[in-house]
Amino acid sequence: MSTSQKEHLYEGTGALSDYIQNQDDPSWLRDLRTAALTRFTVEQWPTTELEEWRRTDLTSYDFDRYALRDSGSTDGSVSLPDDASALIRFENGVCVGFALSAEAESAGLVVASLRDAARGAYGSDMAEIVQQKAEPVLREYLENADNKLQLWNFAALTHGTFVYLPENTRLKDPIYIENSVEDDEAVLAPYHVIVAEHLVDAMIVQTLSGAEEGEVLVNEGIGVTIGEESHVRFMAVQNLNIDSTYFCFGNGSIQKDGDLQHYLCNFGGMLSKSRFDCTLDGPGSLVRLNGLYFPFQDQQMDMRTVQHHRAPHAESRTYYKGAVRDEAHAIYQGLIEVAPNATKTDAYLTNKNLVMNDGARSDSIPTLQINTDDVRCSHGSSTGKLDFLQLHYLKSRGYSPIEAEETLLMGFFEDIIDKAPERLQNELRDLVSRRVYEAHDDDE
Amino acid sequence: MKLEIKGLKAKIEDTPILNGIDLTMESGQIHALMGPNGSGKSTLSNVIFGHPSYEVTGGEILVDGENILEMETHERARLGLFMAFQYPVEIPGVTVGRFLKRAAEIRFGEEDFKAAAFIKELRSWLDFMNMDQNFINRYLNEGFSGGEKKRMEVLQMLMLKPSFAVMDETDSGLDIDALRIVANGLNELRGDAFGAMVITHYQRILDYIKPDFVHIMYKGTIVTSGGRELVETLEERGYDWVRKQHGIEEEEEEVVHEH
Repeated sequence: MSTSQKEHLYEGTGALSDYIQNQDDPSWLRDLRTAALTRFTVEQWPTTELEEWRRTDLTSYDFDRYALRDSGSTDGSVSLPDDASALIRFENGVCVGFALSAEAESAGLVVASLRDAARGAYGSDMAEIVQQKAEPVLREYLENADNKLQLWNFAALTHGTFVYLPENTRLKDPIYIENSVEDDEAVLAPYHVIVAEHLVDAMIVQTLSGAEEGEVLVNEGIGVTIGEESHVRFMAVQNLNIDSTYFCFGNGSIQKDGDLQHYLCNFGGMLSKSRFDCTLDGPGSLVRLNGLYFPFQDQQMDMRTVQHHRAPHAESRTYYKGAVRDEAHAIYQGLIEVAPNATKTDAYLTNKNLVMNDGARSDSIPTLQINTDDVRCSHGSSTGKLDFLQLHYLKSRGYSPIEAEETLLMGFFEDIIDKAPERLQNELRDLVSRRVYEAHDDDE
Repeated sequence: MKLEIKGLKAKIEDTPILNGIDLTMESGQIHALMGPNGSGKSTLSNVIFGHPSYEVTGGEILVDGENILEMETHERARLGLFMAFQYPVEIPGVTVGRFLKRAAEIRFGEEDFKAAAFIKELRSWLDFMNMDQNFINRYLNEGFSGGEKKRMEVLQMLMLKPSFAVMDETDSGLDIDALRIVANGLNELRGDAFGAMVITHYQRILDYIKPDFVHIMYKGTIVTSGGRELVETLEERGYDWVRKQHGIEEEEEEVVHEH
């Protein structure tokens, strides 16, 4: 790893401009960064006057306390687990290696570091594929970007993954994208591009974790496009420590008869704001947005989903479930938006919250914007406590009060957790369980 | 295990329901507790298990001399007490297998717990209870019929082998076949190490479970106790006889919460 160079780049846009010039990027990527920077310079930070930002106040947030480290790249390697089609790992924004199974490789799967691939680190063929497949995705979502954080993400783009699934790629095992941030006061701006052509069947698991101590800021972007009759499941687990900050803006676009299942499992961050915005672009497309979140202590988690119907006969389901405890505050905002031509839309949005104690808060704000007749759209949300009769039942079988609580929470999250590959299921159960016990330790 | 209930009084909200219960039961004995609706039978069982909706206003419950009213519900269970609920709750997302595995670990100790033996035993009791093997992977009581929920309670009892069980109207709502299966479950455990209080509104389950002792409850007290012959008398003469015998005035029964 090359020596790290510390630059404060949020407010110092001059520094950001120098940073862009110093990157060894192909011209398309430099142009993209510059376009983002131009807008970033004039854009204001989101204020609470905007509905989406009403509950997450950034006005007193000191973005410049974090430093961007341009850490270069390494030629490390990773070993591929038996139950994976591919694995790519980033540490502090540096790609330490990636590996593909022989089967995945022969299917033409590409999993690589976006920035390095664009720069030609893996040959000119790869650089060409990146430009051909990733650039349009980046460009489209940069155009759609509606806030300064997103623009910063595109301008800084410290690292990220490029996943390309050619036509007919059917993967038996998941692709794992692992991101860890150990540096204190680091700021990272990853962007992951996932392009699935037609008739693809794949699962992608993306994890973001960090050191137990120290504050980092991760401002992430995700762009996913799903081709015709492709089925992609994308699971993201965010588990930064609870002193850190996490922003994530994801976009998905689904073609005819394609199917995207997105899962956000949200655990980390003192402050986090995420949005996953999906566009059903093709008739017969299907989107399922699932969320699992469990903030505690004084975490604030603000999440938004958008089901954007732009084609007829498409179906979308949002299913976000969370528990809040201690002084934590969860905010979920869901929007179903139906364009005039999107007849026969079938869209539903569910948000369920468990408030574990007085002092914990959960806001649920579903919105429908329907611009055509002949649709089925609705939403349902519920907020409640753990059921005392269920707790009593478990205790009558010898479960201690905390075990009873843990068991009910595990059951509450089970229909999200059981969609994960087995290895991840155990990790998620462990995260939920630790959160139950840690919170109780704090009470004592 | 010896379970002694002494002068027990309890209320729900401001309504007194138990007005001084005295009852001594032990492992090796099967007691039937009968009485009309609203007499306080379910309240008694719920108070034994520390249900949070009931408040004890007097008396004590001793298990082998120790007052369990001071204990939390799970501590009472860990003594070897078991309750078959009248209305078992659904626990979504928690499979029967996972739930019972933990309950068995708690009951028999984690060191001695053998997963393979546990599954084997669970499978054989499922057969015994005439339940499909796939119940192991179903979420506890979710989507179960009323009869399946009751069988699940008995299945748990068979797995956990309590020293003393309270069965709260396990027979209600069951057809005759299910009733026989439930009774077989209890009879299977019968022996010196197991005792039970079988709460019922009807006589018919007692044709399959021959109780050693029968108690009749009325308006929060036990008005009479006896042997098996009491069931027959009750069958012939009905609860009116009890009322007259014990000078209980006819009046509208108070509506009380039974769970």
